Amino acid sequence: MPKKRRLGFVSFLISNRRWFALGSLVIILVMVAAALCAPLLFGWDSVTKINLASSLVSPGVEHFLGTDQMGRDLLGRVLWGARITLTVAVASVGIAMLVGVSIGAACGYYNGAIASVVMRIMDSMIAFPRTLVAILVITVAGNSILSLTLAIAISSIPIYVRFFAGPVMALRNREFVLASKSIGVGDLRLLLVHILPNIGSLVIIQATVSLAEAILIGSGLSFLGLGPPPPTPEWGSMIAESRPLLTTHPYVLIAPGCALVLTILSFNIVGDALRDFIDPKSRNA
Amino acid sequence: MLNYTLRRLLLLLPMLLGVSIVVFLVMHFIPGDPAQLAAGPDATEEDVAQIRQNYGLDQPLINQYVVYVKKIAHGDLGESFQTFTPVTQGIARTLPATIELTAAGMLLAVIIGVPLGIVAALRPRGFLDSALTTIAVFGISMPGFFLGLILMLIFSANLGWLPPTGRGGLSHLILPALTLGLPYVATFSRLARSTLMDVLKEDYIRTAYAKGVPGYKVVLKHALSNAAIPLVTVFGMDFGRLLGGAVIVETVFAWPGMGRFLIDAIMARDIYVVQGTVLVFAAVVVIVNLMVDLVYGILDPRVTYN
Repeated sequence: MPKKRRLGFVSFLISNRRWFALGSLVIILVMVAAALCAPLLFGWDSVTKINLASSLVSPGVEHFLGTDQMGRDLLGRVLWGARITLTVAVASVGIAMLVGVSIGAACGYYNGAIASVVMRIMDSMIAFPRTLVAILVITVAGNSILSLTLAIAISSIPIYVRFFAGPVMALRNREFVLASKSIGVGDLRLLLVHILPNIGSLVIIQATVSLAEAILIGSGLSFLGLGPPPPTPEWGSMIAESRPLLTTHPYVLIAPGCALVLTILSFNIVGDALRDFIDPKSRNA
Repeated sequence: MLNYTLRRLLLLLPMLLGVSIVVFLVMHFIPGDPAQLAAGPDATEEDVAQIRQNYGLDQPLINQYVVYVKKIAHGDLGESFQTFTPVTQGIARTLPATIELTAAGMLLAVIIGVPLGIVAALRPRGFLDSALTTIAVFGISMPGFFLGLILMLIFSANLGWLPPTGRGGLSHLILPALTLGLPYVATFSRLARSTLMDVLKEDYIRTAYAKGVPGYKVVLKHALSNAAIPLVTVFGMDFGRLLGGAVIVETVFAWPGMGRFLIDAIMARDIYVVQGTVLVFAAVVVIVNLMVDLVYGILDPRVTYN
């Protein structure tokens, strides 16, 4: 997005008194900053190495959020968690968008027999529980950050295919496309240069909301023990590992839980606001 | 309608066949030798070879698949490597628990969500209406496992009102069902609100008011029965997602359902259990969607099944 447009979004939020959305945008920026700065503030060793001497220290001056049962600094683990969570989310949405938009655009553009078969397959994949699709991918690919990313990406491809085929189909019959066609523009150039830029804003909105969903699904899989193996500080697996402490030291679970909910919530709210900003007509829907 | 139902049930077969091929292939690509896993770490070479032969794992892939499908046709999903009991037995034990949980979750979402939506539709832009919009965002942003743990912390650990885990009477069901259903309360209330607001603008509603039908009757009988169709559609579309959520909720509350059964099997690389449960999950999704299509005919007499 060009810089001018981004300033436009912030002033749009201020002028419409969308304080929640503005706050959410700030939270996202803080999370991104945390993800980038985590290695500078806390070494990988200090957030993964077991140090039972300092286990379950209450939140205080030395450890701002306290320590977990293994004596690791919680703030450090939450910050590293932001790095892992955001990396997985951005990478999985990126992969899924690339594949999903390509297939969706091809299906919408050609719209022949093969396209309708592909669409039917996508339909049945959407009906099937997404978590199960992701679980099957991880069963094959093993427990790692990469396979978690792939699992989220593969399970969301059908949704994007469905989402983008329609708009492309509608654009295909517009005059400007016909005009380009009549002067001999090839299919690929037509798709990439003339049609795709017109669904760019849809892609941006969908990507923001998808980031929220990717984080939601990824943390759920990690909670089930299907994410990167311990001691990787992933928010979902941190909560799963600290479950026995729910009644005695709830803050150990609540710290990563709040980070998780705040991040998902922020992406959803900003996604909604972005939709209103880019497409004001949708606001009453 | 009977004809249509039978035809749709027949269509179930190729669909399940497709799912079985995919799952079969996925299981085949799992790293590690299933015979070795089944035999255990202390087994000798001969033991492993024997097991491989017993389970037909030495046959070509296509033969293995044909044997597998033949077995399914006879109602045999193979047996577990861990317990040596038939997979069908495990599914028969765990499926009712999952159905109980998802049905209770959906029921809660509908009986809390739809009335809220009706009230919001009657007072658009009122307090409840704007509150619902805010709650809806929270609903889709809350991971099921975190919500479940928080409910457990409040209602089991602190207040001591409800048991934290396990399956039993109604008291065991409340927390898992709430965890599963709460995120959908907002979905259903917003949907009920928007469809009801559309219906309330129709001429026949004005006619009903004009001829003196009491207000509650207009809303509940004339309007709601027409607003129900989109609700049922969304129910069908969201059911798969709900079932996926049930897998996580079952883990949080140690609910002895099919999701837990599946996850345990995946951890142990228990191939036949994974294949069997995924197949049954797919069948449940397809059957629920068939039921949704049949409910259309009941709700809307214009729908015909030809």
